[in-house]
Amino acid sequence: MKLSAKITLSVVLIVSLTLSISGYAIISSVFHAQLKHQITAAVEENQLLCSVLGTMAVERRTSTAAQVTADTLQETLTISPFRDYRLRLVTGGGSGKNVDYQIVRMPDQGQEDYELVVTCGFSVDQGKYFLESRRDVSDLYRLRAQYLLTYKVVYLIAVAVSLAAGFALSAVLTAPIRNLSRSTRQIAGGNYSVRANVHTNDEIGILASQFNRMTEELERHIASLELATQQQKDFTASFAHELKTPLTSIIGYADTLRSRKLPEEQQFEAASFIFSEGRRLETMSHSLLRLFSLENEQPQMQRLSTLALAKSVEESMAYPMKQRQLVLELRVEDRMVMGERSLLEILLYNLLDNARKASQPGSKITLLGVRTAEGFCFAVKDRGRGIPPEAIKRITEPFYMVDKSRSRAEGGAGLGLALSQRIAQLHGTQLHYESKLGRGTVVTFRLREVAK
Amino acid sequence: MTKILIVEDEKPIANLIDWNLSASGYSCTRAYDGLTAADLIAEHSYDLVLLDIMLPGIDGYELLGQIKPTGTPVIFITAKGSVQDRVQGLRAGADDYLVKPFEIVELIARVESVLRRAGKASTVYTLGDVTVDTESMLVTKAGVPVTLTRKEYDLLLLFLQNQNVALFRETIYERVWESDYMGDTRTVDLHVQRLRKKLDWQHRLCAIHKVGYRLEGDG
Repeated sequence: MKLSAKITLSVVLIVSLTLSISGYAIISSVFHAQLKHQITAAVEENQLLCSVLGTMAVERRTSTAAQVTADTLQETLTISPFRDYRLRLVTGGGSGKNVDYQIVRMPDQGQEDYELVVTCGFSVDQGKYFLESRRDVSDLYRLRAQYLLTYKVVYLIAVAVSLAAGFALSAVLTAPIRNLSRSTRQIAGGNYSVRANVHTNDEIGILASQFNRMTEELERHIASLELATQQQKDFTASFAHELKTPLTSIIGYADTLRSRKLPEEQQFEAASFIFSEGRRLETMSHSLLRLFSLENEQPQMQRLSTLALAKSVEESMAYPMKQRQLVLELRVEDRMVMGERSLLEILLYNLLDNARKASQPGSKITLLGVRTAEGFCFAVKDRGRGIPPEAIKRITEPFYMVDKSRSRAEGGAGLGLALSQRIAQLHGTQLHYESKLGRGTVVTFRLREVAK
Repeated sequence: MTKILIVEDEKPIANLIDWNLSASGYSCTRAYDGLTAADLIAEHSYDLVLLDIMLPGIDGYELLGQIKPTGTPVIFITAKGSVQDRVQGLRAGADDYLVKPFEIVELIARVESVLRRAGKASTVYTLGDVTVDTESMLVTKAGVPVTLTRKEYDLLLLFLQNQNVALFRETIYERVWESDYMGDTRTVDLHVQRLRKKLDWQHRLCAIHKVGYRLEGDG
């Protein structure tokens, strides 16, 4: 049974019960009060008649006979004023009680015709008699029937009104619940962006807001799972592509070499392609292995001097920089940070190497290291070609290359920044990019500084 | 001369395809990115386009939409080899789908079959006095019909498509018998012997020691 039906039914039941009990009680108490009043009046009247009858009978006796008898009384009853009443003399017996009354349904009359029959005892000349008087109380009963009829109409209207009110009330009360349940269904159907639109201050409102919080958490979780799955898929697809491309060349050129008689020049070219594409595979497998090994590894954190770190990277960058006629400027404060030396060296080397590849011969690359409120900040700044804004988001994806052919020419596999990002994550930081096309790029990351 | 446009951003692969198709007598043009390819397609007409899907600039699907109205057949060449990718590629309107890495023999077979289907290549091969009509599957030598079994016919076609190319036994086996080569050299040798005898090609169908066979073309 629906909650709204339950509420409606309860309201109707309560209204109906209350109305019928109270209505019946009121009508019946009014009826009984009136009846009692009638009885009292009838008894008083009867007793008055008894005494008048007794006195008149005694008066008659003095003129005719010595003893008042039942006959005398009977006779007296036939004269005025008793004729106006419907009286009957009961001799010897009755109920024995001095005052007695009962209500009888009048024979040969309509359903609701009732008579009040009152019997009072009186004594005349040692004789005990009873006088029975009748009084029509049909009006009382009729009135009661009338009341009950009116009340029934009132009752029916009240029930109808309460039914409508209950229905409306339950609709209002259960609206937030229905709303919530609708949201639940939609979410179960996979639409996690749905929120329950319930803003009441009661328990349902609290439930709804908790429900929304739960859904938010769920949505976030699912989104991150989906992202991870998507990244995994992208990675697999890119990996397959990156693997198959050099393999196509290697297999194809080898096949051509063994099947066709090629001029010496082409033979040399084919062999060169096989060699360079083989090298490309080697570079990729090397970077991939490193990336994979970092997936499940925790860095060996130790205290490092930032200046020593920068100097050692500067040393290994010296030759490639010189080849491009680039100037590497070092502006690093000497502080102590926590990190794994070999990983941070790879990270800085990769960032500087990317800066080198982006720079025109003769320009300057700066490695900055300064203390900030959020930790020690390393920044690699170049004045090179910059990164297009839409590429910045994807730049740390494995195999992503902003300019594939240029990257290939430099012998890149598109894994350097994925590796760098992973190293940064292992050190609890992120790579942050700022770039202007044609103006240059600044990459920053922060490390936890410790006391000297 | 049949003109083929090779759209492939990997220079070594574009070069590889160019060499082999040129050796088979096609005239090839290369485009290393989508934009260049789009320009070339707009300015010239080609008999066939070999199209890489992942391209810088304009991707293969977009280019395909541009090529389709010209009626030029297209073969997708891609590293994406899943069934889903193939279906997507063929549904987009590609005439065939070649998955990297591919063998040269397969590349040539697909190029020939797509060109033939499009009516842009001759359905008749002629070498010396031997003529093969691929439509009626009729083989004649000096005007006299030669009866060949199905496998012998397939073998003959393979050799005709790859003239002056050393075909390795395993390649022959995989192409003609369409299953993995398990080291059984007898089957291939037997069929080549019979083909030689039926066509009197003792000198044209040369055995290459320990490797396989080569059909010497006229060129």
